[in-house]
Amino acid sequence: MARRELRASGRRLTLFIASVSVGVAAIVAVGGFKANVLASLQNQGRLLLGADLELESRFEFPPEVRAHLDSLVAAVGALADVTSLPTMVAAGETGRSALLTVRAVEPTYPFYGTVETAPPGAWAGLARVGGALADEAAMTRLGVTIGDTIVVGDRRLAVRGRVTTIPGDPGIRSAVNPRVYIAHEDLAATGLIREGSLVAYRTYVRAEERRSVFRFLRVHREELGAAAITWDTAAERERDLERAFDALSRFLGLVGLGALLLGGVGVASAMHVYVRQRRESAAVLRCLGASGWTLVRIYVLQAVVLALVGAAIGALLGVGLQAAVPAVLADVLPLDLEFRADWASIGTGIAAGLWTATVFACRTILPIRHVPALGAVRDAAIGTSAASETETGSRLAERVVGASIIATIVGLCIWQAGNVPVGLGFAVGAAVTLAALTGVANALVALIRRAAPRKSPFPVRQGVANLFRPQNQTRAAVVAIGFGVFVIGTITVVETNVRDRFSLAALGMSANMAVFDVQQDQTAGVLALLEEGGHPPLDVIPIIPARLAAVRGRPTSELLAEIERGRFRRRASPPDTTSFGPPQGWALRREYRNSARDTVVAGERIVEGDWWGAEAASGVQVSLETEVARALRVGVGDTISWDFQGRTIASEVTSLRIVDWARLEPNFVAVFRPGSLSGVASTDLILTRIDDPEARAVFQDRVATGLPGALVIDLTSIQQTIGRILDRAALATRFMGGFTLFAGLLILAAIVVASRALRRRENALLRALGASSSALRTILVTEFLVLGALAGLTGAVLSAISGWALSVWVFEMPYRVPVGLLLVLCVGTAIVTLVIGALGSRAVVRPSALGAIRAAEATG
Amino acid sequence: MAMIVADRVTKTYPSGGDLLTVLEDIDLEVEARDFVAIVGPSGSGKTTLLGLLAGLDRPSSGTVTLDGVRLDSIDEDARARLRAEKVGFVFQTFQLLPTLTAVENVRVPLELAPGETAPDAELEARANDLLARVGLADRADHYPVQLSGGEQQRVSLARAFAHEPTVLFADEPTGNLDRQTGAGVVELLRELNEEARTTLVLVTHDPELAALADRVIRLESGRLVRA
Ligand SMILES: Nc1ncnc2c1ncn2[C@@H]1O[C@H](COP(=O)(O)OP(=O)(O)OP(=O)(O)O)[C@@H](O)[C@H]1O
Ligand SMILES: [Mg+2]
Repeated sequence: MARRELRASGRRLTLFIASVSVGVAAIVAVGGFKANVLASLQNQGRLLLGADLELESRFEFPPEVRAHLDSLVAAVGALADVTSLPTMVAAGETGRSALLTVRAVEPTYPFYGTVETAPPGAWAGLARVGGALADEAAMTRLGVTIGDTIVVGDRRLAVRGRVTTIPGDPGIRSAVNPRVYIAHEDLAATGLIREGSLVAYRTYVRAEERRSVFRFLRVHREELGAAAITWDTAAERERDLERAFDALSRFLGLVGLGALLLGGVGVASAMHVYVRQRRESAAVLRCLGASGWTLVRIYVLQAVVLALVGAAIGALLGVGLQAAVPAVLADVLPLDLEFRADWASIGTGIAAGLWTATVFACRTILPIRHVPALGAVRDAAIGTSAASETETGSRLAERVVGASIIATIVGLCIWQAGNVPVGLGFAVGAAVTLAALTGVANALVALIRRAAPRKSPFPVRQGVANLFRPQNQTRAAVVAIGFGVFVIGTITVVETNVRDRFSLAALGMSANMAVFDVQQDQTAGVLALLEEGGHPPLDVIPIIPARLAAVRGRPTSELLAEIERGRFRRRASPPDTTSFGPPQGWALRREYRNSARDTVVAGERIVEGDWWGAEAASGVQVSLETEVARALRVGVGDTISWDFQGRTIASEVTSLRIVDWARLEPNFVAVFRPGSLSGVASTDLILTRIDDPEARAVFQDRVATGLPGALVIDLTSIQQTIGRILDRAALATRFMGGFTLFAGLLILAAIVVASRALRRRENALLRALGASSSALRTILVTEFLVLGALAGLTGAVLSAISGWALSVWVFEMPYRVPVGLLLVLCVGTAIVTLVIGALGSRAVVRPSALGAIRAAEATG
Repeated sequence: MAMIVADRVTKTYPSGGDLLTVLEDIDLEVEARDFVAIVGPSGSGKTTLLGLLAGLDRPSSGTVTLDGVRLDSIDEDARARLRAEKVGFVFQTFQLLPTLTAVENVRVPLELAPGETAPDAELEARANDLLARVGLADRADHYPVQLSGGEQQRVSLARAFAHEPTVLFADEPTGNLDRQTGAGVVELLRELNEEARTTLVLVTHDPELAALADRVIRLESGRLVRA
């Protein structure tokens, strides 16, 4: 019986199937992607690190650490050194220069994974024939190609190849920090390693047995800490990655869930139309003796069959989509993903889709059991008088289904979010969003109905009137598309505001060039260069490198040793981040780049103590940034001793400052009172503004050639880099956001297809009454343009609100509505809606035939 | 010159593998201001013929000339314009636009009429007047689903009269009406024929209505049989 009923309904159920498909596709795609990533994560730690253990320090490893390493390696594996430092590199032919990271590598690195180069094999050749390799970003910045010469420190090296991929180094990192690779044995000859240069010494260890790495770290932990050596293991990398990925997959999961719930709305909407159309035959069946519950069973059975079809199609779509995700995220993910269909996620996706569709469908099917046997003919047409009103029978079934819908939504949210509070939050958020969308959609629909200009030409009025065609599902379409627009719009609004936030001006930066590491005797030279070019030196800031020698009278080595012992005692307890207990290791170990000045600058605020005045004072006074002060457990009045490259000097903390580190304007953890530190080694940071890009390049080159050791940074290129990172992140989020919009449009397409017969009949009729084809086209265009504009406007209005909430509360940044972009989004939505409407109605605007009216009647 | 000329009009429909001939070699002339009734058993092709004469469909062979214009010599848009200007049509199954109220339905031909559309108030007045003449003045703002079959039939008639067509085709205009209302409709049709000098072609099963016609044409299995 159910099957026979179904046969007659044909493609009007496309909406139902499409809705289920979209949701299931999203769930399957996200689940499968997650499974793929988890599968690739196995042993990826080694690939990420290129080794089992990485040790890193600002200083060359002391001989005794070397000895320990050698004995470790002798027992279990091999070792490779990689020494990196930022430096200016110039193109040999053109002299164009850029700040790059030079990495001197031993040929055995990396132990795991392979470095891909063009031409192939260039990596292995590095140690044999020397020369240099560079990544794409470095080559672009220098304007060189393979075969050209570059100048690295004192050496001229031939570029022998391009590094395309290197294990554990996603493309995005090299875009921020372009790299040049040279052989480790060539490093000394470059003369780059000098007192004060920012070198990172890394040693990579391959240990066949992971346990030997843990044992090594356990035994030598203290010694490594004392030598300021930090470490990273493949196992830790895996954990980090899992954690980072978890957040991503949760986000994707929730977006997928959004699509599934949207699908649920589509299902309910489709079922609503369908059931209304079937009321007549339901009434006939009742006349023939079918009970109310038999009817419900028939339609629920149909819904389940349709949901199965939809879920199967969705699973296929989802697997296809899953294959596409890695391509979009390739630059952001530090992984090579292998595509594999994941049966578990396909199964759960289908089950979730089936269940969701069934409960949503049940809600609309239930009232059919009250259909009166006779008189349904008229009711079916009117469709407004709810038959259930005539029947005061039990509403228990409705309540049960309503409750299971809510339980389903909440359950799915918690499942996808992976934890209860986030899941509940999302469920509430989704409910609020849908309610708001429905509210705004209703308001706009009512408005347009009222405001529909009575004076406009007939086709335009007719187009607007069509939106209120009884079975048109205008609101469902507006909500479905509006939701997609809302997601994309929110991403756009937040993205715009983040970009604003990171503009140089917003970052409090009037300078666009910075020269770092200018030796005291070079400062005059740089200033002369600036004056020559007519560029104003905006600021000359001293930079005083130092390490901590003692805090409140206790030497740092002693404090560090105490921390290590403490860690062994309380291994099970979480890391200590409270303001009690001993100072924190990172703050004790780090290298500080401090400064001295006599004024408080923008972007900082004194919260404790007093800034020094003009009057003379004895002793060394320092102002500390609050985070570090808290980590060191010091306050105003405490004493800190600094190690200025061998000279130990004590200072008194006289004030604490809060610093906005997001600003590009340079600021420092510790600022000394000027003049109180005489004779301590320092370099200058010189800031200037050069608007002409040509002049910037010239200045950059002249500093690079004339002032060895000084680093010129073009801040506009940093800005471009931030822009690029944002581009990638925006692309990834927009891809998923696009999916919800796609889901909305698919639902629209299904709605259009479902109403095709009705439209065809109407057009044939208007044709018979003498309407021209241009009038019919105008009606169609008006209907879909208005529909699209309504949906776009609904989504845009809400996204402006949610974007405001996110900007102000989550990102804590000033907010502006990108009116232009949102308008473009609205217009775009209207146009896409129109295209879908026009395609879906293709066969409808056709020379009329009496046959069309008859055909429509027969199926109508 | 005759208002309507059908010359060897044949209509076939594909059915299964072969062709089903619904109308065969129909020759027919209707003079201007004539009142012609088409009668015949169910399935004999009456509705099909009416559609062909009004240009709602195209014959498989043969030609139809309406008010001096050969319908196969002009494109669909020109035919639509011709209909908007000169033709009224009452469908056997009413065919009201479900999204429009009764009065709005009646207004459609007025809005579609070529040339300057009259001011809104004038259109409204005319549409209401027509509804009043079919006895539905108080139903002007009802939607088709809120009307009975007979009421829909009358709205459909009012719509067909609205733009004062030169030719009015009506497919069983009294088929759904009780005797009294039917008589009213017949009266209306006659008035139109006589006052507005409208050419009337109507299909009917009602012998009384047929008797009022100047001429009765009989269709049997797609062929003309002189009555
Ligand atoms: N599109 C079509 N395809 C195939 N056959 C058709 C089509 N349209 C009509 N017919 C057939 O053409 C024949 C004539 O139909 P038509 O509607 O003209 O009859 P009628 O005389 O108006 O009948 P009634 O009095 O019942 O309204 C019928 O047998 C019908 O089945
Ligand atoms: Mg007929």
